[in-house]
Amino acid sequence: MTRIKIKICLIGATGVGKTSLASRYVRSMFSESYLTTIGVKIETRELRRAGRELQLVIWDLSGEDEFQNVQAAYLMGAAGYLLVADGTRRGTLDTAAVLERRVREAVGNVPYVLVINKHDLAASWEVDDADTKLLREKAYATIDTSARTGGGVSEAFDLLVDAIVAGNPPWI
Amino acid sequence: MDLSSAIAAVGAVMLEHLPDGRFQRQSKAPRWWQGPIEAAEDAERSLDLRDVLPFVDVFLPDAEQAWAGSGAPVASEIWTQSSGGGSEIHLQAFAMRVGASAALVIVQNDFVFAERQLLLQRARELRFTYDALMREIERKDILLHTIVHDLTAPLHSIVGALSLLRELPLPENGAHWAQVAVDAATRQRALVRDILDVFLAEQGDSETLESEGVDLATAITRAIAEREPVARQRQVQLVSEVNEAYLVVADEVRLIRVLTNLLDNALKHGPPGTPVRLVATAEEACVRLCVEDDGPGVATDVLPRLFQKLVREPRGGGSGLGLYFCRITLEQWGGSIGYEPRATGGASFWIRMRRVTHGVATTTR
Repeated sequence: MTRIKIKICLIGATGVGKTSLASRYVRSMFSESYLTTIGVKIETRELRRAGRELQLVIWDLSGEDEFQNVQAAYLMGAAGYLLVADGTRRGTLDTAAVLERRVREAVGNVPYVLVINKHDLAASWEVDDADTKLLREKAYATIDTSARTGGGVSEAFDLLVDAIVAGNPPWI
Repeated sequence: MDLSSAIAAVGAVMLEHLPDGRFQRQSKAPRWWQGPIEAAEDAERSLDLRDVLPFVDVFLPDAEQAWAGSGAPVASEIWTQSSGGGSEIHLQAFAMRVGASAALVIVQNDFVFAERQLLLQRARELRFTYDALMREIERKDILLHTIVHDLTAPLHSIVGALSLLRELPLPENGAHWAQVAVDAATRQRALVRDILDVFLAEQGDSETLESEGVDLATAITRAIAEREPVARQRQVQLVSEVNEAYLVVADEVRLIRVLTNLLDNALKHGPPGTPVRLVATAEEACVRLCVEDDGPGVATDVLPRLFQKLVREPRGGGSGLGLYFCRITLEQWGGSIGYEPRATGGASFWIRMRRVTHGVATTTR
């Protein structure tokens, strides 16, 4: 069976854990040390889902902040994306809302899964359901994750693949 | 000279863009190319580059412009490609015309990546630290404000109840002790007010300056009216010699607070039977207002720190915040405050405030 390539992106503010999520998903690894992403980091993982052999090409985009912007060109061709926020910093949800709008303008209504990361620090969370309401309504699904413990990480990517497949793209 | 080997030695690979969209390698394979990427080449060393280096897909539009145009090199952003086993390579692509050929050079650029990452990392860490500190400061400020504000409420009841108690028939010395309690509660209330004043002044951002200016003479009249009962009690006369209408840059409520602070100081030190005078002098773009008393003047050892936080005169009492509040408030309005001993004895505290003329605040320089 031919392996189907699917491009997905990880998008969010700086330091929300995009690289850690990708690293956990692709290599089952987590590092406590924080190294900021420059530009984009591309990883791949092969999996079988929805009865198909898939190759996820994961574009881990650098965080959006005053020092770097998400490049719209990097979103081209993406079948879906994880929109990542940090549960301990409410401001990252505002950034997520801005990015969701920008993705929609750049590539149209591509499905996304809203990921609220750092669930292992739930005691310090600043985010509640009311804060995520608008983004949740537009998302295919919402999930709390912890890249540190691995909780919810595979599920997040699986949900995204399901969202992409559910859209019945012609190439799948 | 083996240019092909030289290119590979610096971690670069040169490819030619073919008419069918594939790329053909024209130089030796650098180390990072060896392995899965090289394995994707066919017998003619050509491959669909996007299969092994997905980033090329986003760079291709820019590359095609470079190949179609003057041929001046176009560079991509640096990107990171994960290879098997968890290692990463940092690459950058350059598209250019070389003769009639459309060339793509991909370089492993770890040095530039590391430099850029170091700078960005440091900048972001500083931003994180700054944001965390600001959140912490905000939490503490709110807590302080809440606590201090809540301390005031019972004091109103205490002062009120004690004042009523004074009016009742009391046993011997009862009136005296009731007065002592009223005075203590009143001082406590003043202290809490000073702390809140300073807190609000340090925040600075909730104030709305009067765009038309504040009438200094009116503010003085109101401040004197507030302090008249205390002045009468101490047998000190409050005299304003400000008869002209000076419009100054200020917020009226806080200006009255500044003036009452200065009056409180003067009343505290002015001997009974002497006046406290307020005298204003117009300067080119400012008004200088002096609050003068006939007291002993400020002790010389206190002078260097007089307008700093928590500076108390040995004989004065008080919170040590009043003059600090005056200073930061006036400075926020572009003004200043100072002290000078009077030649005839006593103290003269002056404040300088920017004037508003024709609805426009003047600058001091």
